[in-house]
Amino acid sequence: MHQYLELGNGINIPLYNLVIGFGAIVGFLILEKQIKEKHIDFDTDKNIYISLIIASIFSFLGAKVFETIYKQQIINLHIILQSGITFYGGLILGMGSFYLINLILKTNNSIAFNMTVPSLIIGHAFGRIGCFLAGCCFGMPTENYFGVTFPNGSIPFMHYGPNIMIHPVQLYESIFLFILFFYVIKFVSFNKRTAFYCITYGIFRFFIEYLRGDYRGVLIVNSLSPSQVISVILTLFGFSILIIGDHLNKNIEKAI
Amino acid sequence: MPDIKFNCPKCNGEFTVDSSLVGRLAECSQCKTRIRIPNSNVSTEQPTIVLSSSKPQTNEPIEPQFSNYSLGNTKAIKMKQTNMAKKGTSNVPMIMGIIGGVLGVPAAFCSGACAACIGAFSDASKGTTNQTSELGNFYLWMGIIGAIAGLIGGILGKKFPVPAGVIMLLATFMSGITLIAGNLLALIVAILFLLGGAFCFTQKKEDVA
Repeated sequence: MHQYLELGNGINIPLYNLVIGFGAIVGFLILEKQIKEKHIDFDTDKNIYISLIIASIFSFLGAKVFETIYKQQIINLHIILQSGITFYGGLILGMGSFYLINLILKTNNSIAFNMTVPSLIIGHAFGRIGCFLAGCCFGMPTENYFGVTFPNGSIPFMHYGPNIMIHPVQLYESIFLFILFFYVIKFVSFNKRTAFYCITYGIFRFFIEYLRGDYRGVLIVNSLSPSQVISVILTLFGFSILIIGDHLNKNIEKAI
Repeated sequence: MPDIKFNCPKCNGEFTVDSSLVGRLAECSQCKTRIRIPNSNVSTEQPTIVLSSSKPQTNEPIEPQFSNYSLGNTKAIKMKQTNMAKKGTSNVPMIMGIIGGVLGVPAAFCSGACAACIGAFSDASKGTTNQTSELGNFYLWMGIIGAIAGLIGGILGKKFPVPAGVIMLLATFMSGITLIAGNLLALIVAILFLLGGAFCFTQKKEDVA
């Protein structure tokens, strides 16, 4: 929509990056607040931050690598550097590495995950606003009231041509994530946050994929997009940790 | 002589002193409370304190009085606290680090492209072919590594103030180098990292056990 914030003298600040940065700041402030509220000791606090930083690096790599896999490109450094990023790629490798690093640092994984999930949700919500401003991850053409047109030079403009109204799917997702964030913070018990997030986001993402207009790639099943396949797995994973981890969570609740 | 462990009744800081100092008056290095060194290990329990019961209860902090210590003074001993780490209190390094980091990546690409252009002009004038990619790659990677370092330094600014400050100053230097390619966005990034680094060192710090 508006890719750059022009400050004059040739300084153009990419709004996508700026909004993602703002989301990350809000996410970290919320994480700090959570750590204070739950009286987490300093060692666990430190370990969560160290795990988060290392997991973020893996997450970024995962987001890039999955993009090349979806698009069935050859994986090499040059293509990975030039490719875009996918949320699910980052989530899978990020969550996996976060789990492993927590194991190495002997941090309670349930506490670490449930503590960071609200920050992930709010960061993702801001990230989708960034997507809307950059014009990526766009929707399909529509004639309904919510339809938007993108300016000349933007990715949807080049994809569909001028004056085509499309679904602002980035904003749909952003609104959903903001609502999910407040619901998770206010109404979901601490131990069930990760499971709740996996289930609700997985289901939402599965259906919102039908409104996406950009190239969705191929993975395993031709009739579903790669993101829909991962959404199904994520939802099942959410249910499994909800059921299996129930008795473990009771012990953790006592520890907090 | 064995060591004696005990806690400050006011700030709960943990101290270890030589048992030959039992009964001597000591001063807590953190809150300056004077404490009589007890004659046994009380590492987990607070010494008995008597709070004034004649005053009505208020929300104001009440100064503890020691009932089991006579205040006939001997030489006051300055103690060194054990197992204490310093933690920052400001969110400024985190904010500066994240904004600098997310702007540093496009700035690095911009610097790489500008440097490649400069290299291409140089190649054209000298009749060589290698400076374009070398210069471009150098500024690109310098900017990217600087942005990542600044981001990491900023995020850790509260947990590890001094190392984070050093990392952020290093990131300032790396982003500053890419300014040679004439990229003003890198200037903003370098200023953000510099401010973040300065805040890492100067922020108010508190002890954590």
